[in-house]
Amino acid sequence: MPASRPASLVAAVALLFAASARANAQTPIVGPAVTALSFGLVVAGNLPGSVRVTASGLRSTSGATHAAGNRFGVSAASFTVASSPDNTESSVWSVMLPVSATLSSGKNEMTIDGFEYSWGPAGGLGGKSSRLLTVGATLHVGARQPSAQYAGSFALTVVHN
Amino acid sequence: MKKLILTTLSIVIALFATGPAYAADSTSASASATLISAISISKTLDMNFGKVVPNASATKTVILATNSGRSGTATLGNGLGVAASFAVSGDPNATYTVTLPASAASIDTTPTSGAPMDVDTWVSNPADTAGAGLLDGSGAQTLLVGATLHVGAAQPTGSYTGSFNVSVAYN
Repeated sequence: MPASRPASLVAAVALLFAASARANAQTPIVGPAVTALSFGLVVAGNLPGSVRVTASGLRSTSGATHAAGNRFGVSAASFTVASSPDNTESSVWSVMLPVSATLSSGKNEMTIDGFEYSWGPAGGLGGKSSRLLTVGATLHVGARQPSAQYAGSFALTVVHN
Repeated sequence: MKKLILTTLSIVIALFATGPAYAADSTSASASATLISAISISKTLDMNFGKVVPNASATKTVILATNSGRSGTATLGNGLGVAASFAVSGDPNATYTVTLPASAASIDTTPTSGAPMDVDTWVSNPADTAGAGLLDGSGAQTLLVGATLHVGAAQPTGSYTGSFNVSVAYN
C-alpha cells in the first residue's frame, strides 16, 4: 500500500508534462523573406536625420534627412510564418528582433534600430496555416552621409510562448 | 515490477520536458537604403518673348516654345524669343518630375502700365509629367520652359517683366 502511492504521484506528474508538451509542440516555421526592408531613396542633409519605415511599409523622415521618391521602392520586410500543427493565433507567438543592425557601403555605415512588427490576418497568404509578419525599422543617416547604396541584414526569430 | 514502471515514467518526463525549448524558428532578411545627392535647380537664362507689336483692337498671343521658337496671333517685332533655361543637378541617372506654375504669371512695366499681361500655358522640355526628367551620367540636365503671352488690345508699349517658379523633385 505505501509503495503504490509514489507511483501514482509520478504518473500524475508525467501526465501534466505530457499535456504541456503537446501544447508547446506547435513549431513556428518562418519562411524566407518575401520582401526585404527597403528605405528607398534618401537624401542626407547637413545635419543628422532619420528615416522610418513602419511595419505597414509607410515611410517618414525626421531631422535633416529627406525622402526622395520611390525609384527603388520602399517596403517593410515581410515573412510568412506557418505553424505545425495549425495554430496561427498570433498571440501565441513572440517575435524577437535585434536591437540594432548595420547597413554599410564600403567603410561607410549607418545604423538601423527601433525594429517594429505587425501580424497580418490568418490565411492572408497561402493556406489558413500561415500568417504574414511584416517588419519595419528606423534608419539613422549621418550629417552629409556619403551617397551610395547601403546594404545589410538582420535576423528574426519567432518563438512559441 | 513497480520500480521498473517508475524508471520508465521518469524517462518519459525528461523527454517531454526538453521538447518545448525548440519551438522557435529564425530567418534573416536584407535591409537597404540608397543615399543620393539632393536635387537642385538654378536658372541659367530668363524667359524672353522678344518684341511684340500690339494690335489696336484685339487681344493677341505669343507662344514661346521650349526651343525658343515664337508663334501665335500677335505681330512679332525684330529679335528672338528665348525659352527659360535651368540647370538641374542631382543623382546620376535619376529620374525626376518638373512642376510648372499652376496659374498665370503677371508681367508689367515699372512703373505700372495699368495693364499687366498674363503669361500662362506653361510647357517644358523635359515635360512636366511624372518622372519625365532624366539626369545624365554626371547628374545634370538642362530644363527648358516656354509659355504663352497674352497681349491686350492697344497694350501700352514698354518693357514688361515678372517672375515664375519652377521646381523639380525626385520621383
